[in-house]
Amino acid sequence: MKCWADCWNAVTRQDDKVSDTWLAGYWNKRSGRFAHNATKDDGQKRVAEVLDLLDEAGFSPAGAKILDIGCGPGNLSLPLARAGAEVTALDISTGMLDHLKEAARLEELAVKPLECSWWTADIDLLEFRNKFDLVIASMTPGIKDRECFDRMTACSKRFWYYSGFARMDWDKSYQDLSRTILHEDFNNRVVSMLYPFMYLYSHGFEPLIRFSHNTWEEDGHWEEVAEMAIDFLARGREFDAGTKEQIRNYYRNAARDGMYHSVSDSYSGMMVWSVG
Amino acid sequence: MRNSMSQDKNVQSWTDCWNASARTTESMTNESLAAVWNKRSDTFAREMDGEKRQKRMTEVFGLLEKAGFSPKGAKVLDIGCGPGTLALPLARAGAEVTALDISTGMLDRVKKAAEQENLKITTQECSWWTADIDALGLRKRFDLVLSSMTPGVRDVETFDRMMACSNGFCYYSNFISRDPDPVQQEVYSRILNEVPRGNAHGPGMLYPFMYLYAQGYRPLVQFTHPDGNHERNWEEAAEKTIDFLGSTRNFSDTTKIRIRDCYKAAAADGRYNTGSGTYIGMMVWTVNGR
Repeated sequence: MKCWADCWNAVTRQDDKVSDTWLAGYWNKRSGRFAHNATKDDGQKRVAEVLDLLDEAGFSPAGAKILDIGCGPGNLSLPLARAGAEVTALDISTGMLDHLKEAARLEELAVKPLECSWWTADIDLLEFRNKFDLVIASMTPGIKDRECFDRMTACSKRFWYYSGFARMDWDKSYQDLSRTILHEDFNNRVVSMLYPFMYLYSHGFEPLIRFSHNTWEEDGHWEEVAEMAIDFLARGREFDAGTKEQIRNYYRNAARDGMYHSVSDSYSGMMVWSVG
Repeated sequence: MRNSMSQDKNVQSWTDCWNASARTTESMTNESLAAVWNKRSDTFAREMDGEKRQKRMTEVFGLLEKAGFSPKGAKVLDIGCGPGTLALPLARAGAEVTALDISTGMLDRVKKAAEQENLKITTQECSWWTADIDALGLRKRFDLVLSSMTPGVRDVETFDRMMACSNGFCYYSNFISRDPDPVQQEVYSRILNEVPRGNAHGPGMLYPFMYLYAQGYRPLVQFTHPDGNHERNWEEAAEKTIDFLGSTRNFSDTTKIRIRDCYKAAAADGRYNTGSGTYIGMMVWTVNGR
């Protein structure tokens, strides 16, 4: 058990460090697109899967107190509030929370938004310890290591939901650019959901799990795609003008009629566990 | 099993994920793998000193015992047995062992030891990647099948084949994550101009574990973090990389010199540190134990 905890820590340390201010900025920029994607069929289907799994585990939303860590534009917070739950929706990004607030106001839902970084959250000060019936951490970088995970588990008295990538293959342009322009290896590995899962298993939990495979294809104007790639690859660094120009050129050349077609492929895993 | 349709789908998704991850590791042929291990059979047994080997052995035997396995009179298949690290002590404890490996050099060592001590060990030279378990008469024949740190079991297909040979217990161990050798990464990107790839052990122990879990198995697991000295002579470290990467490529002498130079430059006082981020996961389960 102890050994597993060390192993998880060691893997986390290898991942590059970004600051939470950088992360907030990154997600603020993306909040519009995220909120829009959530309304598509794919987004709806994913929400249904989560609600099914919670149901299978014996959780019922009516009257339940829920904490949603890294709630984004409210993909899970809003449907759960509609089903009668009282949701504390936490996110690092003002942009994401604005989308959520607007939706909650229109439908008069019991959603309490909270702008906060989970990396440094003080759950005693926030009076979160043991306060919720369900704590959710859905695909959020907020749970970046074991400490953040332990903090998450400390907030619920009954149910937990966690999901994350088990494998992520980003668009191949990221790998090309890393090698040819930045001269570094692109770290395709993400801290996978297997680590928190094994942490729970070695503590005697047997979470319900679901895996899914998603291929994400998107056409975007090459300039927009290039800006996103610059943000993503820089991860808080500042690229010089020449490097940025090289990245833009890559997408300009790869685009057809001004549009760049990106393909990423991922496997994600969801899990629910409970006590009592 | 509450919902077998969604369970099947779940297992399928995981199978795909494992296969996708296995594809990103170095692809070697049976012949090149055999050659690498034959070359290493002389030094391999020495690399792990007595005390370390004893400790590992105690852990493995402890876990098998905890799961309810007793070696006396048991029929055991050891896939990728190497120099007999597990096969020999199990035979000493009264098991009848079929020791399978791709390398003649490794099997010669096992045979010699078995003769000297008069142990019940049969050797089988074969690659697990392409083994026909029906032709070999291995299907469902064993009380315990071992796959200990072997590249032989590398994906869903070779893992299923392993399980099909057992009637009772299975044991599997592999790295969880292994810090990539930093110089090897450099060799990939600077000298070979290739994307770095994982080692031949496949994506690690968590994949087969999750494959079992999704099917309803609940293996006993144990993790270990072998500590100690990971330093080796830089020349040895360079040769290992040249052997490993060279088995699927044609290296010119200049390339070999450049690779040696990389290691030489990274070494301090002639010693090269291969990193210490090694975590190993072991698990035991019974094939009928869902």
